[in-house]
Parts: sequence; structure tokens; C-alpha cells
Amino acid sequence: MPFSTKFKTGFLAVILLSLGGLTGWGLVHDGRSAALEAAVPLLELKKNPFILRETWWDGMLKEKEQKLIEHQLFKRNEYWFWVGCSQSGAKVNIHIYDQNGNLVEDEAWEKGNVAAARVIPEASGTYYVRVFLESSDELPAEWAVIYAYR
Amino acid sequence: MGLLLRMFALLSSGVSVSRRSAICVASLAVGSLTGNLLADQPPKKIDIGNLPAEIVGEVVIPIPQEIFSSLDKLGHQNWKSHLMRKEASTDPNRSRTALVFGLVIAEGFIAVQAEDKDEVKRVGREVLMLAEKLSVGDAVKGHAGAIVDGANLGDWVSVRRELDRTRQTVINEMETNRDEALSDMVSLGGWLGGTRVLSGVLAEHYDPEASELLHQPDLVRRIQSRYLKLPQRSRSGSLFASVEKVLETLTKVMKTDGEGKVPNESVQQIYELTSDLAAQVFGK
Repeated sequence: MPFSTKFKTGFLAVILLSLGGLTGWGLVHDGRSAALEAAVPLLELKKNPFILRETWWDGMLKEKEQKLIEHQLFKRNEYWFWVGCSQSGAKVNIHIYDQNGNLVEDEAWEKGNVAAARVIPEASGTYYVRVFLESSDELPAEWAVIYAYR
Repeated sequence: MGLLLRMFALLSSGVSVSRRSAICVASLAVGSLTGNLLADQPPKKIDIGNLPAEIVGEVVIPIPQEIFSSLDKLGHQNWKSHLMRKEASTDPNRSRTALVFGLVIAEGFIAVQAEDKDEVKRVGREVLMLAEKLSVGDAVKGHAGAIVDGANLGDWVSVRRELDRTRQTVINEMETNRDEALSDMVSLGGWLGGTRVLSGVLAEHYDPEASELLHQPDLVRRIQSRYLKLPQRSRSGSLFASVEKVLETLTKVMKTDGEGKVPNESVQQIYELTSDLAAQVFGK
């Protein structure tokens, strides 16, 4: 392993430990670790970083299966939700809907076993985070969703 | 189908064979790419009620800081004046102790907003005392120490993170110990504390724009539903009868009117209900 990769891996491990290690979840659930790894750049912003909630949702998904997370969001905040699957060969996505079922996210991306969506709610109230497993080399796939706000 | 028709038309046209092949390959590539992109496009609208999707049962209750973060964007708030500054007392009723724990964590978030070092340090000490009463002291010791250290340094970012970690650690420990009822009481106490201070800020200076932060009808309903499913032995006595009654009333008033605001009368009522209940939980 080249030094820079080793350094990056070590650095990431330190960040994961400092962000999640004390609660014991950072390294236990691979899906959460993958989601957290994706979240780190926004949590480490020098100016106005996102604040990670120490809580999460998790479960199992079959291929082409979806789950909805019902969650209260507040106007004027900005939220990022990340989903991670423990199976590195999984393909997952995440999207945010309001209580009338309208897609309301401002941005979303997916990259294999990790995906994320950002929303700035226009009103306080209940929103639905939809997690969808497109495919996975191992089924059912284990997933976890974390979120942060600012 | 449209792509195949276009390709057929192209093959029948007068374009040279090599050029036609190149265009066909490009068309196929574009078609395939478009197909992938389309496959990745989320539906613009879903029918929540009829979607073949399970709703995840776990209710995650927003921490007070999430609400304060929104409120702060509307201007400076006098957080200090909303601290209860009550000393936590315990008795053999572990459900009440768990409620107090949640309330004390909420007080910690308010003290951080107010940047009140002494109050944050007091909260840190109370958190540890209450955690010990709930038999989760060992798991919380590190967090409680970090809260006090963070307050000494004025490192409010780290204190906020430790408060959330403390809350989550206690909930995790209780769930591991199969004390789900206590875990729910901690969450309920935290939400009660946050709602008390939010409605208190708004009751003092009503702002229609900010009032909609109290629009939480589904959340209250989910909290109420979980509460009513707790074993009767975890919620016996007059305090818990009050909790039940307050939750029932809040489901009716924590919502916006037709103009997208929670009316001032509702705000006053929410504040009265939550501050009375919080005082009752503290036992003074």
C-alpha cells in the first residue's frame, strides 16, 4: 500500500473513531461506516460544518425493495442524509419526499453502496426518506442511514 | 422503440455505410446512457399511503439543537432566560429518572445556546449522577467529562456533540439491557425540554414565521403512540397520567393553521402545558 493511501486510511480511521468511536458504532456496522466516510468532508468543513446526529436508522433490504423513513425536519435548516450498505457490491439510492409524496430534495448522488440526498425544507413537518436497493451481490443487503444538519 | 425506429430510418437512408454504422453505435450508446440515467431518476411523486414500502419503525426525535439552529437564523434569542436551572432529584421511580435525564440533556443544549459555562458544567455533573442512578454511569462517564471539559474551554461545538452522544449512549445501553421503556422516556424528556423552550421563546415574542417550528403533528402522534404501548408498570402514577394527557392535547395544537403558522393561542397553550409538565417531572 503506497504511503499516501496508508496515510489516508489512517487519517480516515482517526476521523471515524473521533466521530463515532465513542458511541461504539463507527466501526461496527459497515454500512454506517461507509455512510460516515461519505459524510466526513461536510462534517469537517472549516466554515459552517454540518452537525452529525449520533443516531441512525438501519435494517435489511432485498433487491428492488424500498423502505421509507418518516422524519421531522425544520424549515431554514439544511439536511444531508447518507445511506450506506455493508455489501461493497450493492447499488443503493436515497431520495427525500414531502408528506404529499413530492420529491423535494435539492441535490442527490449515488455511488455504488453509498448514496446521499440534500434538502432545505420549505416548511417544518414530516418528510419521507426513501431508501431503494437497486442490486447487491449479497442479499439481503444491510443498510444504515445517518443524517446531519446545519 | 423510438430508438429502433430512428435506427431503421437511418439504415434506409442515403448515408454511407461506415457513417451509418458510426451513428448507429453512437445512437445505441446514447440510448443506453439515457436508459441508465432514466433508471436512476427517482419518481417525482410517490403515493406514500399506497407505496409497497415498509415504514421504518424507529422514531428518531430531533434534538433541541436542530430546532435552535433554525430559530437562530431568525435572529438573536435570549436563551439564558429560558434555562430552568432546576436541580435534578431522583427517587426509586426509574421512569421518572429517565424523563429527568432527557430534560437535563435538553437543558444542556439550552445552556450551550446561552454559552453559560457554569450551567453546562452543572448539567455535565447531573448527567453523570442521573446516569449512575439508571445503571449506565460507566458508559456516560467519558461523555460527562467531555461536557465539563468542553465548557471550560468554551468549545460549544464539542459540548453539543457530547450531549447528543450522551443521549444516544444512554438510549443504546438501555436498549441493550432491554429497557426500551426507559429509553423512550429519555427521548420523551428531551423532546419535552426542547418543546418547552421553543414555545417559551415564541410565547415571549410571538413570531408567525418561527411559530411553524411547532408544527409537529405526526411526530407528537408517533411519540404518543409509542408512549401508550409502553408497559403499564413503566407509566403508573399521577405524573405519567399527566404525560398522557399533555401528549393528547399536544396532538391537537402542535399544527399550523391555514396560513402556515401555529396560532399565538396555541403557542401559549403549548408553553403552559410543557413547562408545567417539565416542572412536575423535576418534582418541584
